Amino acid sequence: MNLTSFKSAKNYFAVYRSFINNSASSAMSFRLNFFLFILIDLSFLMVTLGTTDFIFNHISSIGNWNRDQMLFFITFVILVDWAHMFFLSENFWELSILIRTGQVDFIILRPLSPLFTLFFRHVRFACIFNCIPILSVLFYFGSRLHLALWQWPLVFFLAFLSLILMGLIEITTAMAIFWIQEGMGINFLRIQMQNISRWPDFIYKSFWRKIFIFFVPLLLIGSAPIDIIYNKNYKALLPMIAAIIILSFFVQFILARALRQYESSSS
Amino acid sequence: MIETHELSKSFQSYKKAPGFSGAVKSLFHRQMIEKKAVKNFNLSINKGEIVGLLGPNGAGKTTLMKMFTGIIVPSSGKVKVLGHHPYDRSKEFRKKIALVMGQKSQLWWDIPAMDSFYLLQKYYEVEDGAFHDRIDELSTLLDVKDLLHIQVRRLSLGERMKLELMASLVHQPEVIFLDEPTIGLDVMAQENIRQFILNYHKRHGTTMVITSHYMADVEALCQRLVVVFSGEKFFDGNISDFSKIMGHQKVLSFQFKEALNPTDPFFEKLDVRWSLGNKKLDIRIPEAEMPALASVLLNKYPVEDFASEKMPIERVMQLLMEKHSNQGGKRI
Repeated sequence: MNLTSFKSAKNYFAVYRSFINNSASSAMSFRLNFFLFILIDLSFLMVTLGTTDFIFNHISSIGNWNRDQMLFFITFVILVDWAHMFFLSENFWELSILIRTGQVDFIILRPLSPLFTLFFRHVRFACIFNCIPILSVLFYFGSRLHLALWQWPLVFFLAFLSLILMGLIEITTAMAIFWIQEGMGINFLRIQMQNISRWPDFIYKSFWRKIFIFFVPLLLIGSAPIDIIYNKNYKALLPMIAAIIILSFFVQFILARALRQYESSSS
Repeated sequence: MIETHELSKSFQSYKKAPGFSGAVKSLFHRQMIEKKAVKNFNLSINKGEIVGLLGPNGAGKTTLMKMFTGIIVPSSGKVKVLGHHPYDRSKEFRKKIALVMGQKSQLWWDIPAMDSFYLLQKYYEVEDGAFHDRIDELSTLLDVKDLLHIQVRRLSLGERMKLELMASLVHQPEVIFLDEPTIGLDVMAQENIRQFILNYHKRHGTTMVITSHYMADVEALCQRLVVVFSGEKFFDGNISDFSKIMGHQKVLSFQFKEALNPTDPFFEKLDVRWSLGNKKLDIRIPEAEMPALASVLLNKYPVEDFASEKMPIERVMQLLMEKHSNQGGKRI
């Protein structure tokens, strides 16, 4: 890394730290809402795990997976989802308002990448505390599956890759708001895409599996990492990395086009 | 410093008939309309100038500002600011400019302005020492030291505008674009903002482009005036030349002891404005004819008081706008 890129990275980190500070200050100024978010996220974790556990009271396996394997998978996906909620989610909900009110004007004037200033500007700070119960549940089911110590860094590395992949898919999707303007439809589409990624790939029929692996790589978010962890199928890393590289270029391409046709609201 | 050549921008929108049926029709078929917001605009602004862009609503002033700053991309023509094409949005360019919009806020709404300033410090990589010196200087000049740690949403419009100005100056830009910086403010707040802008310009010699609806802003701040009508440049020159644009005319004001009859044939051929229940009269008249007319009026009517003044810039603008709309929006 040369001096210029080091300075640039330092600049991005400094700005990101300010984003986190401002998001935290903003979130904590609404105390009740702050605690409500913590409760909602906790209840989501409990309902999702509880439902799966309930299903396993009546059946012994889903596909080839037993209760512990399924619950570990679900907790892994929830961990990725938590990171997505913390780092990205808020920005997707805000994008339409920013575009329609012309607030994007100021965001794209800042001397950093608009991709960064548009999609990493807010963190949902109230989520931060919920990583503790999620990680506890993940460690619990991981230990029941006898994951070796060396596998844990791999689990977190894969969760990181899944987050990047999920983020890129959602940023690409959210960019459509520059043309559509109203964001509600796109945001519900994102939620449906998240629902698709929350289930193992084997529950989908061959056609849909191919679509959700090669066309919209949603099934690589949860299923590919778990395949690597359970079956040591390291080849599954390749489509994940390929999808990340392709989407990274695609996102830049779409963003350039989106900003080129951005008209800004009149004032 | 700022150069445009045949700069144009068009926007597309669609016509919607009123009501539910109109909404359903527009869902399937839209009658698109193209609006030319800026047409073949040529402009050159030198370093250190304060230039006022003046024009009625929808004249294209803000569209020009957005093209100067690179927020929107021109439909055709060329624009260069500080040697950059703004729409390339290079990092160097964005570090050298600032934009203040009277109707949009760049501050984070739910937190104190100081937190937004810290973020801007990081954006623009301003050294700690310089940053604190600037905040100290600007907050003293604007008298907002007590407001820096209060949530922005709890401040008045005037207070917020002062902080918006501070936010745009944290990185000491070379060019500042001020889009209606005094809009909605009371007279005192407007005056404070104007004084601050003038003082800042004196200290730093920063190039400034200002749009405003208020003539007082332009008269107080700008050495040079650019008048825009329907996206076209109508006038570009010294502010003192602008008032002469309608000819060497003056406004003669009379206050009468009693109300007069405005249908009196004497007033028929004159450009008059009645007020105070027809007890006050303003007449626009060529300067050369003023003494004769004043003498007739003083002899013929019960005059209580009278005064003459050069045409206020506000009146010139109003006449130009009336003339422009009477001619169906054609160039005068």
